[in-house]
Amino acid sequence: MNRRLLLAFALVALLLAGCYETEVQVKLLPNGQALVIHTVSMPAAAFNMRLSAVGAAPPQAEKELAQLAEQDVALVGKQMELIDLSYQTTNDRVRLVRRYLFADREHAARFLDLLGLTFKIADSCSAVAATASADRLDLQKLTRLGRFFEKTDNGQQAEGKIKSTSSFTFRVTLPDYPDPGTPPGRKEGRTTSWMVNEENFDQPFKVAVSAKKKKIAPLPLGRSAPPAGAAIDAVLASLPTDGADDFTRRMGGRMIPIVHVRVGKDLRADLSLLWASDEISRDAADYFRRLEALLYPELNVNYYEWIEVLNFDDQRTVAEGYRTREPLSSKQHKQLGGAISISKKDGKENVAFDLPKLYQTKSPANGPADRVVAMLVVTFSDGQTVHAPVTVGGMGGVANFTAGAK
Amino acid sequence: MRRMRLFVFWALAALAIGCLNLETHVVFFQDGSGVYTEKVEMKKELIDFAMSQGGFASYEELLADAVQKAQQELQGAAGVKLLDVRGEWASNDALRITVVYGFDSAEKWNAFATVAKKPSLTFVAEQEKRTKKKKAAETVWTIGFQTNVEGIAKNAAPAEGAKKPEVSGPDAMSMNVGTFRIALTGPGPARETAPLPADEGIQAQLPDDGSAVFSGPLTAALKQRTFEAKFAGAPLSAAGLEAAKKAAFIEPSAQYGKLQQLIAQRQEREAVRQAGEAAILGSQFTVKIAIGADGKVRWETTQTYLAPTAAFAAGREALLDALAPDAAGNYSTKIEAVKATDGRPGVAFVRTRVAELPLERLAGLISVKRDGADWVYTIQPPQLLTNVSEKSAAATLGKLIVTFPDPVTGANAPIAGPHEIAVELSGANLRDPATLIVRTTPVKK
Repeated sequence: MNRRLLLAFALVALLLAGCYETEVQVKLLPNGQALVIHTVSMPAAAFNMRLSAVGAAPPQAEKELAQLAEQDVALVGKQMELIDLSYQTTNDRVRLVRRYLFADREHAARFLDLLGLTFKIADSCSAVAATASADRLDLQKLTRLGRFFEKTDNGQQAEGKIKSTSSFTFRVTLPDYPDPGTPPGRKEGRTTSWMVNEENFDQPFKVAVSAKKKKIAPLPLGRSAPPAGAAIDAVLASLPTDGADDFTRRMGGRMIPIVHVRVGKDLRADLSLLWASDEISRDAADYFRRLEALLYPELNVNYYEWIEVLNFDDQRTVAEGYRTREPLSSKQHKQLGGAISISKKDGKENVAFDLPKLYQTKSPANGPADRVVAMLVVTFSDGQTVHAPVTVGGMGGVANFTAGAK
Repeated sequence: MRRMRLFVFWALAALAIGCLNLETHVVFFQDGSGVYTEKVEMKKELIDFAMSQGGFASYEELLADAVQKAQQELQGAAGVKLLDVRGEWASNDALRITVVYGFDSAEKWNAFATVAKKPSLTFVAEQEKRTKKKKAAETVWTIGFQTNVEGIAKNAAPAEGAKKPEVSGPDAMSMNVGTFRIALTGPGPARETAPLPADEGIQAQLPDDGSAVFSGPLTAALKQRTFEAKFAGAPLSAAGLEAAKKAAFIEPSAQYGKLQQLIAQRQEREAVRQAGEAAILGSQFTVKIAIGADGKVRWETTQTYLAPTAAFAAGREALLDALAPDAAGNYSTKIEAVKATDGRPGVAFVRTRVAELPLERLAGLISVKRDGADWVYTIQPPQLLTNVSEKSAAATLGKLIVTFPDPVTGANAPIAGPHEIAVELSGANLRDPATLIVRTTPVKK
């Protein structure tokens, strides 16, 4: 077989090789933890050609990249957790996203060191400042693709045959809004970002951002009762069911809200409102999660963005959403209408959820009675975590969790 | 679309590096119906290349993609059906893909062939006159097979936007272009083949099995030409015809069943993806923000869910309201039955915040600063979408209406009233939100 001809036909793909858009986002969470989202995007034709050259099919590449990520976790230590690795192909590009959660900021800095970046946090009572620097940016280190990385042909680049489109974007999200005097960088809410094109990779890289710490007073809690389930059911019952049952069958069980209550020793409840989704439904779940934060300003003020990994009957579930900044006392929960009640019964912590009377009118759009519509998770003060699904048939009832109970 | 372009790329490479052998077998019965079998043999390296370019995890996935493509081509083609698709290793380094179609008549096949860029067929039956030598009346059937160059030429065209590689020198000369074999089987044994040009290496044979076989280098078959053969014999009885059809129509292979399952999984996966997109498209929001002269903000939102996604989405929304009372408790919520402009029924959650919000609590969304006598507001809608299809990018998903205490004197957003801007937010806007700047000038008293 004539390999030179095969290579000739792959010329277009090869011309695109070495063009990587890499983004590292560091989110400093208010609870002292850090989330790092590492995204590498490249032309699918070039990446697949690379896989072909090293003799790896996409599933094998995905597996190897996951192993590489696990190796990084082993290098940094237990304080680093690989949340997930997604491998998406859209618009002729391959997008590889690796997300890591760190127990503290120091370990996030250790990971960034593997990418060739020196990351420092100065945290005082009144301000927090983050700096990232490197003598030069090393694309191979930044992408962390192992043997799937393909270097740009510098010779051809120098001759002007290949115009490199590689870039690096660094984003830092602080717990507070950055100071107006922060050096240049694009600002979106609490996030500041900087982008460097490959022609400047040999220049020293240094960025910094700081924010004054402000005591974020939570928005006062209202006491309006949510609409009665019967009122919602009545409107839903008037809707045509054509196609609705199919829709529920497909999306039900894929895009599930999760409520996670962490009970403190003083019975204060640290509440997380999360979404679980799978690879296919993630776009929709992400959209509705972000939309909630637009529609409810409370989510932006009283909560912070949060991600966690939950195990439901040995099934690993990544859940994203919001976690309360100020845990609420049991008294406050009672004032909120008692949908979540936290108490001690016979010396044991107890959490009860009053489930709304929804889906009481029979309709094919509701799905079967055993359709899971939400998951409830409770972590007691001793660290024990229990969970239970909420089903269509279980609506209107009470879900009870008691510490120590199996 | 992406896969199609990759397929084109693959086909281009396949033709160029000459590791493609093509074998076609057409069987015609006396009633004009028949079976069309196509066998393509490719080198393992090329299959691996196609797999990596197409992102296929296994050979089965690659084959399932081919089946799906064939099924799409068959949509609306009456009288032609796919009978079998299978892949088998012809040798250690070559995979043979076999595709079998059944057709009711040459006309029906040709209607499909025009769309699918496949060879067209002719089938003509003539009663032969009795002679002294031949006492029994025989029928002569003429079967024609016309190559479809257009289809091959289309596949061989470079992908859109791709540079056509230039190949010259010794490599171009040493191209091994593969071979073709066309076997025609008629209702009776083959009698003769039509003459063919002798200089292109095409051979015609009449083997003992009664068929007519044409073979040669693939380049010869890539030209527009007709391969024709005559078959003769006495027509079969109805029972005999049925038996002949049974013998020719093969049972679908076990692998075909597995491929059908894979296709069903892929289709379901696509249906789920579309359901996710329908959930987004079936949901519309409006945020009304009224900023008072005292810096307090009146906040009202409407979240609408339209059929058929309404029941699922609204149920989820109501459940969240109940389980997150610290957020929902601040609102007076009304549930209303609504109709969209396209007539679709739905349900709307209309929420009015009971207490007004201080403007500074919306720091991530709206900020304001003084500029001389004016107030300049900066509004930054959040990024709600990451991946957006063309359909979602064009659709209006939300609306942002902001009312200011002073008259609007300049804005990079539609001004809806003396004190108001109203911005429609499409999927594209929600993926790449633009910062809105609004200048207001207090009225001099």
